Amino acid sequence: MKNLVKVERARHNLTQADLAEKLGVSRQTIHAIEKNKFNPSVTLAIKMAHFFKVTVEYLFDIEE
Amino acid sequence: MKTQILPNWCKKLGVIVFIIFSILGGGDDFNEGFKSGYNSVSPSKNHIVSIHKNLTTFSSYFGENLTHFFEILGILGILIYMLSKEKVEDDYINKLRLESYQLTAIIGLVVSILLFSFAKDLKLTLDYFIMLYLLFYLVIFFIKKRLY
Repeated sequence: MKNLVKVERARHNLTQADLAEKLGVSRQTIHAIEKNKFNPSVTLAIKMAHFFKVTVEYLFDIEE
Repeated sequence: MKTQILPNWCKKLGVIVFIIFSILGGGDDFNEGFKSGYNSVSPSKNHIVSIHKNLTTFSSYFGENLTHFFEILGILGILIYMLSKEKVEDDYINKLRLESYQLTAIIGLVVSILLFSFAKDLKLTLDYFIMLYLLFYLVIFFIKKRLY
């Protein structure tokens, strides 16, 4: 699964630690999601989409 | 299943308990390693042993039973550390923890099988296996967390 978390994070001028704190997860989690090593739970995906004010489908997509 | 049942501050408590009671419980063996060396029973080394004969050891001061109790408390200290929550608990940390448990179990089995294969009559006390499991788990989990 590909995602635009890193792009959106850069757009909001946030570090991994900042984003992690705002979402209530660890910094390692954000790093793992950005590197496609971990697929977040539905709850976390929706939280992220709400935070960035985008849709979940935009933020996360299945690789063709 | 959530195995982390203790709050984060218990990590510090676990480390303190482990350090204090490991020194009290295992200090004698540690000291013995320096004093006696590998060939402690060889006659040529007898003069070395005699120099240290009158030193007070933890087991002579506290008694054998209490020293054994200290060793158990040291192990319980690591267990407290293992069962304490991280500062931030989430799905990813839980995944890393499960992977660490899995890898530790496999390494524990492999080491046990290798020991059995190469030294069939080897007699080891249980604390070796307990410490192997606990320490391997902690090291693997630490490395996995720090990797990212």
